[in-house]
Amino acid sequence: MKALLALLDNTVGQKIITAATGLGLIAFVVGHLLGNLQMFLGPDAINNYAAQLKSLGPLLWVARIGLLALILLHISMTVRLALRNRRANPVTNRRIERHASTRSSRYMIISGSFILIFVIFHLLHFTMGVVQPAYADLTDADGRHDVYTMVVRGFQNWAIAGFYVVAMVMLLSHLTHATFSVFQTLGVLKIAQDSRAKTVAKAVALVLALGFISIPVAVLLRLITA
Amino acid sequence: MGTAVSAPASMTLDGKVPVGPLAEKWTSYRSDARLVSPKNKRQFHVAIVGSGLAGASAAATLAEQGYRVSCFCFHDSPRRAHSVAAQGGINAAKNYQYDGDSVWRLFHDTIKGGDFRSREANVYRLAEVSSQIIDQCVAQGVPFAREYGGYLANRSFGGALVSRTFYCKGQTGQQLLLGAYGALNRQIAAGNVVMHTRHEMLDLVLTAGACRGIVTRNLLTGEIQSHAADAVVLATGGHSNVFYLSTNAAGCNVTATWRAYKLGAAFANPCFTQIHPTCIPPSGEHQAKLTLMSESLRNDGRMWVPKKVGESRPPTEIPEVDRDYLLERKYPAYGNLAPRDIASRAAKEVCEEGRGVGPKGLGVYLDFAESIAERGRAEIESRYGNLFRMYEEITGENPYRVPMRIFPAPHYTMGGLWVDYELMTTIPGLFAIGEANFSDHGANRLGASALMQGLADGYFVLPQTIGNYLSASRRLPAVNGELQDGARRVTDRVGKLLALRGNRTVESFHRELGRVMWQYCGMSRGREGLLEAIEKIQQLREEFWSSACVPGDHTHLNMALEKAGRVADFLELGELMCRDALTREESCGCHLREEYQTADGEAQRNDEQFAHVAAWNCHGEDHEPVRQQEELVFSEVKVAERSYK
Amino acid sequence: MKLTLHIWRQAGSHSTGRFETYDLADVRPDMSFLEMLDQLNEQLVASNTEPVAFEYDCREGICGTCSLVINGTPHGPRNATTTCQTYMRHFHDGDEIFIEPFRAAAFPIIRDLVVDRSSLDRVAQAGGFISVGTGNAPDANALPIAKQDAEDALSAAACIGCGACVAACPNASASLFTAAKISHFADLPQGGPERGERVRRMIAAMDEEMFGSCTNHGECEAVCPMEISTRLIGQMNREYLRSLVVQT
Repeated sequence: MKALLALLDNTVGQKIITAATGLGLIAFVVGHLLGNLQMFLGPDAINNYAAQLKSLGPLLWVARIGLLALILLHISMTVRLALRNRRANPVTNRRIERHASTRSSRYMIISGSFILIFVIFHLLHFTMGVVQPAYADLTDADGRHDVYTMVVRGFQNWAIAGFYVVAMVMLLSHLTHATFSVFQTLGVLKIAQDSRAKTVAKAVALVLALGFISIPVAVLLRLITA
Repeated sequence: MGTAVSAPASMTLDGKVPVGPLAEKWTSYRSDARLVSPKNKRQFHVAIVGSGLAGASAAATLAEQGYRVSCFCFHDSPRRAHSVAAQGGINAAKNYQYDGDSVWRLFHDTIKGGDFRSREANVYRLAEVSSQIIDQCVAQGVPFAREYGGYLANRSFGGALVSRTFYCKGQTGQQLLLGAYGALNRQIAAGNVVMHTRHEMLDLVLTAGACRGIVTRNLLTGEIQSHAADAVVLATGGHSNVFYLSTNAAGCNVTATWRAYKLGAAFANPCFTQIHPTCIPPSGEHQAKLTLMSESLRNDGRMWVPKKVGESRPPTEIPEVDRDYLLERKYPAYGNLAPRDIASRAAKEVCEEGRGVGPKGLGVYLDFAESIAERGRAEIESRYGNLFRMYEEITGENPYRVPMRIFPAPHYTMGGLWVDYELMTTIPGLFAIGEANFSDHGANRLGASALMQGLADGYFVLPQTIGNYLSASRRLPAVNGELQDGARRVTDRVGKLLALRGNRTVESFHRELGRVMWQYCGMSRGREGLLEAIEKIQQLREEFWSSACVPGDHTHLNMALEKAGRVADFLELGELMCRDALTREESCGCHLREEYQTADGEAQRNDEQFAHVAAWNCHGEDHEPVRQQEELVFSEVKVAERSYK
Repeated sequence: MKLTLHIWRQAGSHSTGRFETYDLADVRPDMSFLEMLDQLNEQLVASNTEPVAFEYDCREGICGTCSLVINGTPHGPRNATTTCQTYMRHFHDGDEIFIEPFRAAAFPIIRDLVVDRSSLDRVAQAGGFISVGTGNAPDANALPIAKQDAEDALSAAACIGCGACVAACPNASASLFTAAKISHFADLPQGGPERGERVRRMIAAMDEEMFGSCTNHGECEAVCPMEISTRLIGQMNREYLRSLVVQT
């Protein structure tokens, strides 16, 4: 515990927390995508999946609180470091050529902030049903919460689907840097310093983002219908 | 002031060499030396000027011993001292290769390499402590090259018959300096050393004939400050930059040792300069330094020039019959591996004959075509790849395709402040270590021995001898008056420099001084030339003080002012070097005195009259310096002719 | 060739700086970049104007003193090359060149192109050494060290402390500098006893000096004249994690 608290004392420790929580969030995103892709299997699969998740009861709340803790830690460490980094490099009227950094690495704060806004919207939308209350409480033939219809109806709205797609592009940007960066920060050099592993990491980011994007796109293209 | 030079004076200097057999002198000295008690050490303050290998290692070691230490350097960080640039390696008599090396052999090679113009006891001690240096550096984490078994690797360097050189690729100097810098940093962090960076020492403080402090100028604020000390150590390097173009860093200067000389410290063998043969030739007027390439290049490169004066064909089109492989022709036994001074002189001679190559005919070819054909490009690349890259970066020519051009350049100064066996100058309480003193290399230095000497002095010799002085020096009275006088002298001098608002840049004076020194006081000198040079330098000095331009003021970073002060000192040193060269009527070590050579142009040493150290004393601006001698007694080595035929 | 130089001029730490423009003729391709600036300065001095302050010393790429940002890149356009080893043949007649100091909050400007990099020294003082007093050392061959370990240590120890990594980093982080020193000793058995203490203290010192944190952009590695790899930053982080678990 003392060791973990020591991490908070310095920038390397804070960055390690950022990476470790980021890795946890990536794991969540992978799981979330696998669940979501069941949309393509039809209403029964996804509604059943949702019902099973709900049936976990208190465990679900533990997971949710854990996830929230990850997010809060990730954000608080990042904000702390970002403010510090801005103070460390205060000069703006300079010419600077970039050689190695990427848009993805430079816009982590912007992509991350966008993702945060998206997550809040996403929770209001599908989890709490505040955005489109009409689709929030539907039930299917088996009396389960009809997630399938909620999602399809939701994405039939061009604006909402578009927002989701943009958010997933932001996720792609965030993860393109993050998927290799976490290993570098955590000192897993076999992965971080291997150019093939780096390519795989970037590919994972792309697959994740395309996976998420595929759902609203499929709805709009009427590949998935209610 | 005329140009007549006083005859050798009868005054002699005593090196205070301990009695007893050569091999036991250092041990017996250490047994007999007075010690400072642990609780008294804290009361002694030692000021060390310079933070290169010698300065940093001395500062760290003295602080470890318990002295209060202040260390001064003009750089922004102690790690930037020019020791950092040494490439080749460091010698030590470890005999790890079991090839017959020993303390005696290293000692003998060093004293022979110095052409029997160094003090036997000092050189022996140097060889003796060389092993400890390697132990110390390895313990500090210096990453020396190793064999697959994990043991230290060695190479033979500079024509030595044994492999005793330890190295870290081409960055031995940097790695050793980082070791000493680390040791220094540990003491800075512990509060035992107060480090003053960006401070230039501009004067010394003397009380009753003893050195009791220094005066510095803060290069950022211009503040002139006196620092009292119980002993002062100068570790300020050499003065090759008197030649303007040298392999030294731009900042290297003589100011600290020159100020000491002006206050009474004897300056020994100022004319002994090492000229390194394998440097990249100057490409034009603008050039501010010459870049050294490792001497190892001569292992596979063949030196040649066209036979014909005014040859205009590109080198690859000149057939074998029209090439003169000058070293192979003159020194068939050693060929291209002839010692530094011989190779340098041969190159300079052919350039003077008009057979030099490249811009202004200042250069000779170093050709790898044959080695590449014999061993393959890959092998040559593995040996010299980084050097070839550096050469191409600087010259824009590809040495795999066209021969390299090389030219000699001043590299190291064997001369420096005269010191006794304890490394103390003729001013009590003022010590000089590393390249700043004259001690160990005689008239020529062996490759990979400069790093050894710097660290020997700093880690192992000075820390053992300084106590002998300090324990005997009773607590002297306060030195406030002298400190203020010193500060006033420096303030006046800075003011005088800043009043110079003429029309000629300081740089141009330096360049001209360099040309005079190179032409008349370089590898070969003659009486007429030296007399002419003395006159020219005197004129140049007068012109400097009337028409130089030093812009800006002294209250902020003013590099033009720093440079002006250093050039002013070089303008005085240059004359002393010429005087020393003039009075040394023999050819020895690095230098050929034109009047003293054999019929076939080989150097002729004169052991009868010149087996001594010439040490010069300043007697004020209006008097000529006085030459003193320290007779060199060789009790255990046989003085032999150097022959490389 | 003729060049137009835009050089950052600033009288002191607290003054405001600005770009000044100078036209320079007769620049030859075989001049080094610093010799080109020498030529400018000599002209400025001759016209009794204060020369541009810029730092250099060895001019052979090893002392780490030279520190110019040339057209937005620390040490200029050539890979693995310091400012002093950059030659004018890589520029063209009529080029405009912007010359700035190495900038970071931890590198306050002293004057013109000269900055104060003593923050790096203070990081080194926090633990960039092995605590062994003079005369304490055992025989150098008493402890065999694998050739590869010695070579890894040397490639980390090759850092010349120029601070280009900081100047290039969007966060002005000194991670590459600090990591190089930590890795140098972590690769060697001699560094063992102080391993944990060293990494903790050096990281704390790095933070204390107001350097930023590493966000893995990799700009440092791209400009490093000694080609030091960001791999070492990963190694530093691992050393740090190790120090939380293992006592030494």
